[in-house]
Amino acid sequence: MGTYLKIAWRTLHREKLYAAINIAGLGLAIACSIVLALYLESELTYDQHNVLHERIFRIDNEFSIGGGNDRFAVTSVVLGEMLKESYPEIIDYVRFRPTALGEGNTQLIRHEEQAYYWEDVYFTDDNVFEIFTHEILYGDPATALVDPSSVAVSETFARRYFGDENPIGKTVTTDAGRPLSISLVFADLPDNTHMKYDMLLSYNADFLRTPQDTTQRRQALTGVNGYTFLLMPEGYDPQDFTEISAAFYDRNIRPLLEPAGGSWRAWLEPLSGIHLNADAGYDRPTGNIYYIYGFAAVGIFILLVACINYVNLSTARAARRARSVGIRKILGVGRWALVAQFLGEALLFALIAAVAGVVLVEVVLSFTPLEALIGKSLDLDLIGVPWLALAILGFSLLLGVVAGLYPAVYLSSWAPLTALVGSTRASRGNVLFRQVLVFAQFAISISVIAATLLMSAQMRYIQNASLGFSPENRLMISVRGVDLIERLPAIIADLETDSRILGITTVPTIMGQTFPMNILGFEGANGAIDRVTMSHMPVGEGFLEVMNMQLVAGRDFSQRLLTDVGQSVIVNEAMVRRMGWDEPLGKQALVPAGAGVSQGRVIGVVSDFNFQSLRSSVEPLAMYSFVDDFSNVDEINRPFIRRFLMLNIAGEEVAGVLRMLEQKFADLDPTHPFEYLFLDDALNDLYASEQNLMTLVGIFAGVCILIACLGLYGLSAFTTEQRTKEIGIRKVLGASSLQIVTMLAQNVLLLVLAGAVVGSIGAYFAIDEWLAGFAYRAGVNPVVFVLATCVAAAVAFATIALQSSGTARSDPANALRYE
Amino acid sequence: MLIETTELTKRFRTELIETTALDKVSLGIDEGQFVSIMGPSGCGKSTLLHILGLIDSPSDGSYRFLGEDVSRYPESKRSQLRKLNIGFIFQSFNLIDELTVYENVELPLLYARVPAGERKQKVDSVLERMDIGHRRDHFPSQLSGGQQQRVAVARAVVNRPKLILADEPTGNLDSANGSEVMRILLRLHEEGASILMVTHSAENAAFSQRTVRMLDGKVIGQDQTVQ
Repeated sequence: MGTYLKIAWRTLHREKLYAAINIAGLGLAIACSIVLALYLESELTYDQHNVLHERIFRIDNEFSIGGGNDRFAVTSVVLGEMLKESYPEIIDYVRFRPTALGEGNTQLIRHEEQAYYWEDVYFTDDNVFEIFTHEILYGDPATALVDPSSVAVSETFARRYFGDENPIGKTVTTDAGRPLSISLVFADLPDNTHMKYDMLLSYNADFLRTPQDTTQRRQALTGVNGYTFLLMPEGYDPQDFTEISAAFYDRNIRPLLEPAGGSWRAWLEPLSGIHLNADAGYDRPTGNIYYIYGFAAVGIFILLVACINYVNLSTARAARRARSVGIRKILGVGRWALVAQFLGEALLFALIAAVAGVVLVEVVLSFTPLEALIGKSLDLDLIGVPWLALAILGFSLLLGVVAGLYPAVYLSSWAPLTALVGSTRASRGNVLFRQVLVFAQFAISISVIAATLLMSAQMRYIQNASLGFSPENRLMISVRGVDLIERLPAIIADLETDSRILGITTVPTIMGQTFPMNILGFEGANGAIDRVTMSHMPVGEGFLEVMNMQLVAGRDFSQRLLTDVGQSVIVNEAMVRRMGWDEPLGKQALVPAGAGVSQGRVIGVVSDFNFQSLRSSVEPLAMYSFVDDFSNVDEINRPFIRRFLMLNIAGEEVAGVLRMLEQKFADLDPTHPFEYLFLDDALNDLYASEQNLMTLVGIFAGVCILIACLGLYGLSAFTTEQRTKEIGIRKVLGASSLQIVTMLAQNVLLLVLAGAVVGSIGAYFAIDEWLAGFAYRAGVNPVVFVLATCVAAAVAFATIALQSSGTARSDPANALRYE
Repeated sequence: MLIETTELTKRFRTELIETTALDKVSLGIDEGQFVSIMGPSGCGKSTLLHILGLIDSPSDGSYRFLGEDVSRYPESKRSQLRKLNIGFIFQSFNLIDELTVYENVELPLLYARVPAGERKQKVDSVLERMDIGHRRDHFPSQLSGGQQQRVAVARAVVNRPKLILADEPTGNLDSANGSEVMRILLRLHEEGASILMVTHSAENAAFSQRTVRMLDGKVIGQDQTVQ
């Protein structure tokens, strides 16, 4: 093998252009494969850093009421406890209760002069460190959360307030002034953790105590407030939980739900499967298995294109190797020794390409925003993770074998005399094979380009789609704490005097985020109250006007009508369809009002608007006025009540208004940092994962085309060289340079066209599958396929022209003297 | 007898045309003989050389090499016979460009699975004999035509083959180098090698013991050379 590698190295040296093209193509493909492999490895191993991950399951559940089925990743906080008491096969349970469900789960934590907001803060049981694996930096995990006022924090949290100091025993305070003593510091959770947090509060606080009375516990089972995980025995089959769920439901929940026509069931979601497989509401952000398939497919495509390049170039240049092959065969070389020699060359290329690929990955990760694009950090730690280097080496060598096998077998197959006298000028079969390869390359490249363009069209459609309201220049300001909320009428009255502000209202949450869902009651066809699980939200005065929503029946809320507060409801058209109302106005409604429920009537119907992601169709929604009665709110919870001020600002005045508001709120509420966001930005963030996917696929499409063109460049160099005499003759007979280039390119362009047909069909089916995940679709525009084909053809023509124009423009005599 | 052909025929067929390159050639060559084959271009002498060198097979007739009928041998068997018994010298040298002089000459020994120590000894010896040892680490592109042909001769004889086939060995050389190569071949013959040489040159043919004349695929005469 040493001799083979020595010869391979010399061959590489002698044919630098060919070597450079092959190494560039293979190196790019290896680099893309490494990046994709790191990404896929992260996505496919979510939560597997937990030692017990195979035994940890999350309970997901579904409520069926009023004809609808609603799946939740959150359950009642008493569920775990009650299950463990009744079923000995459940070894343990742990809960993560958000301090608020949905967007409001952020906490302002202060230490001396420092105050920062922290997202995803949870109350959790003190056994959490026995079940979930954390790298403990300071503190005792067995006792860290026993004390109700203790808090376990991440390394990032600790550094933010205390630098490199050991923070154990230090005190931080919540927004409500509640002191928390830091009892444990854990290393930041890995990127590929579904449930991320920087703070864990003790569940042993008095105000979190769960009822012990059976009736109260059963009542509590119908609410959802937190994530519940079970620790089961080794080898436990989650299917077995179905029986437990059914028995538990029969004993504890059926008596409550059945009279209302409802039911409940639960199932276990394996911890390491949640990220890609879970499908329930109120979950943390999850991945998408289809994106995994898509990325894996793109990676395979790129490898295929690079291998095709190698095969094509090697077989096309076969005539150059013919003499060497012929001589060796005459001297008595065995066929497999020749195969080994050519494979040795391929392996050498692959090895060099592997080094180039690794260098390229390091450069890209260090100097480009690729990690931000993917939304995760990718670490190519070849020294710290030695098997990674071995894997890359092994993969590259395998790639070399795959790419080099056909050329090796082909080149070694000639009879000695055939090789020696140069009769290896491509047989018809070999020419056809190379054409099939070029066709395949461009079919792949065009399908990836078309897919990118179609995805881009869908994202543009979503961004421009009629949402049913106007998100532009809508500024949302976070208002925290009852004290500030109670001052809002005065604040709004003051702001309304500013002519730059076209309208102000209040909302409970950000449009597009998860809205509260509960069982509400509405008058059915027979006049009785039907129970309906549905989304609902309180709104401030002027909400419809500020959001530019259209009423299709009835009227808006009016502060002048006292009955409108707590007794009037506006529903959307989807709700009217759900209930089958011919005349919705005046229908009875039971809706939340402060801490309780209020009986009212439907006063208006608003045109459907997309209050959730455009992946989902519009669901029924009920809106009612805010009831600003905070008398029942415990002192300890007053700081945690949150609302958003929604302002419609004149477009050209946004910056100035923002500065004014920042100053005003600094005066109104000096204890909280100013928090704001623009609604259109928030909505765009809903589609961040699709945007990233689209950009990545676009980048890989570019890589595909680049590799294909590298190969085309090499092929056309060879073809031009072979046809130099013919070119000279044609020029003598009067052909122009453009005619020469076109002659050389026309075969390839035909292949590009043929590839376009197949590639377009493939892209159509792939994108159609992806679009199925959206309720609102741009549709598949055939112009996209034409555009992708034109791009590929133009790039191919330019490549060939670039390479062959020198010969095409040269003196014919040089060409005729060539041989 | 080293070589014996009986009505050896070779036909080449394309889509439209069939060409008879060799037409019932019957020939015998004993061991130790130096024979030239002469004739105009296209007479079939190279085709005959290729068949006798076991790098092509006849369409009809028979060919016995070292007493074995090799006419219908598959390439694998011919390859085996070739590497052990036949050395080739070509008009265009046919050295392998990516190998050094040493490595080119070593190739036949490698394929014959000669142990490394013995290979080194044989290659060094033959390079010295051909007076090309001082260029052992050079590549063919760095040598003159004469030097390349001497390397080719070294490669042809390093394995001490029973038969040396030379196809226009001086065709690409000037007269001085050509004479040098012919003197080498003569010396090899004097040392006992059997040589079959295709040539246009009567002057070169004069180095051999017998000249076979060909025309249109047939042997039209054989002359003993007066030396």
